[in-house]
Amino acid sequence: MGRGASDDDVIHNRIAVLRTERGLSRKQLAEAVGVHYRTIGYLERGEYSPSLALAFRFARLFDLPIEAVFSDEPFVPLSEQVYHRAT
Amino acid sequence: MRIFSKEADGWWERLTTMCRPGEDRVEVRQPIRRVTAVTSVVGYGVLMAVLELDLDAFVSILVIVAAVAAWIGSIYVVYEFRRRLANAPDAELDEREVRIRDRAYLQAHRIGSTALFVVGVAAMVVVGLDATVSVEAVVDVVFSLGMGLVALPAAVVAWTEPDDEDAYESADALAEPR
Repeated sequence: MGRGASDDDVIHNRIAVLRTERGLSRKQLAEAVGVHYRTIGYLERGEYSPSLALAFRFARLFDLPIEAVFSDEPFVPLSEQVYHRAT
Repeated sequence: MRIFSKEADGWWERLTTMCRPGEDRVEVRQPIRRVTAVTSVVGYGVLMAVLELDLDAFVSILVIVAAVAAWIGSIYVVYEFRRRLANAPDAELDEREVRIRDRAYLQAHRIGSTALFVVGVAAMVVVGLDATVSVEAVVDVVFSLGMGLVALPAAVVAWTEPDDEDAYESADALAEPR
């Protein structure tokens, strides 16, 4: 009881892929969602799990459903998902 | 907290920025801030000791100058590293930084409370033994405790956050993706 989100509760995300797809630097992305650019690095490395509000800001910015950007399960790599090749 | 710095600007980083925390991450922490924090405490301790001891005047001045330089200089370095994070209001921080700051203040509160309790018990023991305590010594202890409590949150942040964060982030953060 009373236990908040711990550092072990990892939320996986595709921020790095989506950011690169859209040609954004970490600093530009950070300014767009209103966080410090270091926080983008922490998110991309999976060392920080965002709040629900921040997750929605990312989803809105990328114009994707939130489950396309964040998941509590590791994302399947695109090479495996599209071409069925294990990495 | 884990920071991987192995080939931070090469293939390894590009592969591992896919946001799957891997077991092969390397935990690297350059101890600059910890060294400065310890230097600060040692400098202050030496300063207090020299003020209490009857040393040769020339030696005293030399040691005092060195101790003050170590004490103040280290505080400055630690503050410069983490001043924004440790002391900024909510409006200037994002949610991750607020979390780090709040955790630092909680830990500082625990450490400070423990220190106050220990000093209080020690003071009661000394008074119980009917020892003579100089006013200067009391002022020194109170001043030291006050300074320590004020600096604790910044010291906790400096102690717990990785040194190489800025160097690691700057390469990618400021550059446009290719």
